[in-house]
Amino acid sequence: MPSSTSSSETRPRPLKYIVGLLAALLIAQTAIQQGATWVMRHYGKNETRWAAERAAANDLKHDGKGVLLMGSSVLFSVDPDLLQKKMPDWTVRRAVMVGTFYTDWDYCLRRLTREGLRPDYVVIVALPFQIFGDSFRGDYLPLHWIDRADIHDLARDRHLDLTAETNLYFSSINSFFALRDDVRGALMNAFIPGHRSLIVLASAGTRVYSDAEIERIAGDRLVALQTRLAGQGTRLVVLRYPAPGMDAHWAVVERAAAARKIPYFSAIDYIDKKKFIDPYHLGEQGTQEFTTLLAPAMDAALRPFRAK
Amino acid sequence: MFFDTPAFGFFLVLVVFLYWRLDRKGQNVLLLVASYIFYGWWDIRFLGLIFASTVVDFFCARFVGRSADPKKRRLFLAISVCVNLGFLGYFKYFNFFVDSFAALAHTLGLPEPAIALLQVALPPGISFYTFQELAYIVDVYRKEMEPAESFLDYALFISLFPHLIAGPIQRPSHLLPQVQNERRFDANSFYNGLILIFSGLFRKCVVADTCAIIANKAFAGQLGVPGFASTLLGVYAFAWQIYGDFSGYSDIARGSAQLMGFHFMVNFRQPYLATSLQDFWRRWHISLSTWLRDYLYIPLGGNRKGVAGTYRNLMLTMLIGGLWHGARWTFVVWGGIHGVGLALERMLLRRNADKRAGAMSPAGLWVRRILVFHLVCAAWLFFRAASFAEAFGMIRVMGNLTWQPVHTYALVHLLCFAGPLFAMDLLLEQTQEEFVFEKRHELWRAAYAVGMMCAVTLFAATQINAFIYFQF
Repeated sequence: MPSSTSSSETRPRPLKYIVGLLAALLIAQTAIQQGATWVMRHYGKNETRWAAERAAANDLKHDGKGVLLMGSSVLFSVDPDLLQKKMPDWTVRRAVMVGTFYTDWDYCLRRLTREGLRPDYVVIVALPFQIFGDSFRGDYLPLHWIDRADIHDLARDRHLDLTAETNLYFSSINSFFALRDDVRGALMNAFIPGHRSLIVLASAGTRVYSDAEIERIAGDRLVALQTRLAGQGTRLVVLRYPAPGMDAHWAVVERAAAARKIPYFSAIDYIDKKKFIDPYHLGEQGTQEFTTLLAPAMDAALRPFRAK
Repeated sequence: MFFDTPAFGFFLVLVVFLYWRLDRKGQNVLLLVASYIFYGWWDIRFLGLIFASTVVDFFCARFVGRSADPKKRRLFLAISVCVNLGFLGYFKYFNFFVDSFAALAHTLGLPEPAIALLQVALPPGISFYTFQELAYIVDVYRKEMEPAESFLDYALFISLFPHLIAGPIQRPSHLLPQVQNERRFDANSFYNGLILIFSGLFRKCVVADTCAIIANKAFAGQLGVPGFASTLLGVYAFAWQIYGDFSGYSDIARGSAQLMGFHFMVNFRQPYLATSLQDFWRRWHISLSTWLRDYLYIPLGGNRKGVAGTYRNLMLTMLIGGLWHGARWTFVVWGGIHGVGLALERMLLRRNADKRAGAMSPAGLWVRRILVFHLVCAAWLFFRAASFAEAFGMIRVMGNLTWQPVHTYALVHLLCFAGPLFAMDLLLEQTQEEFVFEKRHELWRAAYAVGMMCAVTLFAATQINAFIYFQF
């Protein structure tokens, strides 16, 4: 059948081949999208975990003791079951948003509170650069964390061009498009040695912020978030997460929070580097230790507000 | 609007769907409106600039074409050239020249000029459409073509969206008649256009965007300890990034044009298999290299001004070609390296350079290919570096021979993603096809397109990496 002499220039090709090609492309595209989305939804750790955390967070109602820990993947360093056990007077829930920054939490909280979530406290658990950095989760955001109605506001806030904004709208109607980064990551991790290490390396921040910039940006953001949450009867609290090498940035964020009367607390300022499995995340033992220390510190930080 | 976004996919489907339901004039109106929407997607203010530039050129060319008075002809040619180069100079080079002049004044101990730098965005593709407009007015002046009678046709020739942002730079004599005459639906061309689009997306989204991760980190000094390994991997990664990126863009542009019955020139022919620098420039960004040859090198005198004149013209052409890419001295150095290389090659290897690749032994062929590839890579180092400090910094650390695990990961990535493109090039070099399986049965080609699409769907790097040549 293959013919090296058949020139595309000389032999007229009937329309049926075009229709066939378009059909093949459409079928293959649909199969990949549906298949990959189904696999990610049912077997993807992040997808199943988020669904469970989201459902659990729905229990939180204004009763003076509902606490939602929200933040980036460093929140994996908090064991929610152990924390709840150690804080019996509180209802503690965790919402880990992997690879996220302030913008992601902000829009996610807008969506979740609009959908009825009512925690008494939202405790932000993240790295300092995730509070003042200008990144966000990109096309994944509309899958769970932002309302379609808020996309235009996000585009305006983040100065996105029309292409990036259109992609976000597309993500809000096509789950595969939103998930494609995760699908690619899963495939690459499975088949290409060292992919995860390379990506961690590649995703390290590049922009350098001055202390004045950090204080201004972090302060403005925390105030904006606090104001928005206060409208729902919720109080914002910031936890200092003890990742190594972050002290200088935390000091500035703490100053910004203090100047604006945003509650800020620390469970422990320093944990031995050996207990981290990578620059940011604690291993199993470190997680248990940090959670054990976090419980009394958080209780002490929140209780004064509860009394009021 | 970027070619590798869903927005462009929907846009293209809608335009093509409507296009074949209209007569020629309706098609041209549709394409002009679509092209302006495509361009305005970045920033609606840029539309005024392209429109103004189109109007000036259209009327200048008409005056040049109709006038028999050489002085008037020259005057309108000069007006058009000045307006075009004026826009380009203002938006692209103003800050560069102010900065360079200030640096020179500082070096000479003179007071620095108090000229404020411009805070304006560079209109996408301005270098491309400016060159196309210059080619048009020059061709009309040389009486090699008649000026366009219809403003609609001319405006479409300049702004036709597949080539508007990053070429291929279309010759007026090739594209304008296509705009002016009826396009007929050609199923062959349409079928191959679809395949070219997916082939281009693979080059851009899978190969280039993945190589970009390594190149970006290496040039930021973050690919392990800076040294021989990080510099080499960074430059190799950039070489394949820019090739995948730009050849991918060209394929998508050509494929999109073919869906509407247009034909664009081939822009790349396996450049990293070149056996000399001259050969490289016959294979790399062909629409630019032939433009520079026809509208700069030959008018300067080409090789008709003696040996010294030839080398001077060669250097000038390459230096200006370098500066065309961007307003930085590193681009000029990039052009200079190619200029010196071409001159030396002409001087030392003239007989051998003309020797046909087929007559060489396989070992000799590969030695020359590897040598040329590394010369090109050396020039890419300056092209990619943001400053001389960065470029020389990367060269200086090459004495450090440390090899770290991250270098192994980067090498594996390069082999996994640049490898397929290299293999495709080897195949294309053998078969002399424009894309893999071009001369095979439809089913082979369909399988190729579906394979490319699957790879793009699953392996496309997702962050928006603008096509590199958009900034030029």
